[in-house]
Amino acid sequence: MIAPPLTAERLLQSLSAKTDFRDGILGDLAEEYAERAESEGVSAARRWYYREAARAAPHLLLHWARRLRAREIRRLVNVIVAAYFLVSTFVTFSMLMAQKSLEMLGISASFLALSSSRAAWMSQIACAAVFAMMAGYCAASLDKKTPLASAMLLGVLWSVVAVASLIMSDSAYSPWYFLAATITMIIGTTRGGMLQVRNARFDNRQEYQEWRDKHVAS
Amino acid sequence: MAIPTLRSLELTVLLAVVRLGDDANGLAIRRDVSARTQHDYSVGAIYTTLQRLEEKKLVSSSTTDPSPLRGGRSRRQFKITATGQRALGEAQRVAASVWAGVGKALRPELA
Repeated sequence: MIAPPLTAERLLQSLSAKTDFRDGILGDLAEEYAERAESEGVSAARRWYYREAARAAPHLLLHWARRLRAREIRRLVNVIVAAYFLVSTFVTFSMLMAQKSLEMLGISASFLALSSSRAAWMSQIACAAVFAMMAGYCAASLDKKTPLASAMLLGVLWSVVAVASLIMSDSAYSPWYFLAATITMIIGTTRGGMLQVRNARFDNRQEYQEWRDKHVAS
Repeated sequence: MAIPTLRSLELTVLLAVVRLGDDANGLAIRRDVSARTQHDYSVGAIYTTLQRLEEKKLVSSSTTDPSPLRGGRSRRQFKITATGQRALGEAQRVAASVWAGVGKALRPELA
């Protein structure tokens, strides 16, 4: 049989914990993909699979969110807090190192400080995107059950906290900055989570062999 | 026991479960519903509806053995329950009641 695109299947799996609901959706998609690959060709079937995966993703996320219980929420909070502190420690350390290095070279590090110029805003947004990707990757690495859902949740919470602190600090940022920062953080963490899911296809050789036996050998 | 009310897609899916009988699995239900309504429902929308019907105890589900065709996953078979049958009967009664007399207004030649 022809196996569906592995990355898309892995991304769908990472959105929701293993339940009959998730397996039903992934199983149906795999079955129809195999039929379409035979009748319409692999390329058309792949396009169909990606489109259906995108349509199924919100349903999987909602199903997972509706079934969150106290224990699961505690686990998620642990993952998110750990990822946030790991990345913020790394970021703070990197910033300090960069500042010190520039000072040693005799270059002004004023562009690293908060400023209201458009260039400064753009560079801050770019830095936020990189940090968000790192945090998303980190959160997804720490969560084996629902890696992508954790990364996305981290993005949402992080952007809420960042926007709230900016509003409370009474700074001169325009509403566009808040919007850009929010979108950047959510997309950044999601992208980081997707990268992790794609890279961590198989935890070990045995898992890869099992997948191969199931999808390729038959 | 009160009979749960059915939304439009819930009614369509429940009717598909009855129509398909022993072949009522997610994929077959989606194909049946999409063909009859001429709307391409996503697999997620159908499963969300089936999940809701199961929570309302209108359908019950069982899983088959894992199949290589489904990437080693089981297939879920759905069956209507007694409550589901009562809900369908009630939906039919309500539909007949609200449509009564409308045919003549839409097509006066029937009068």
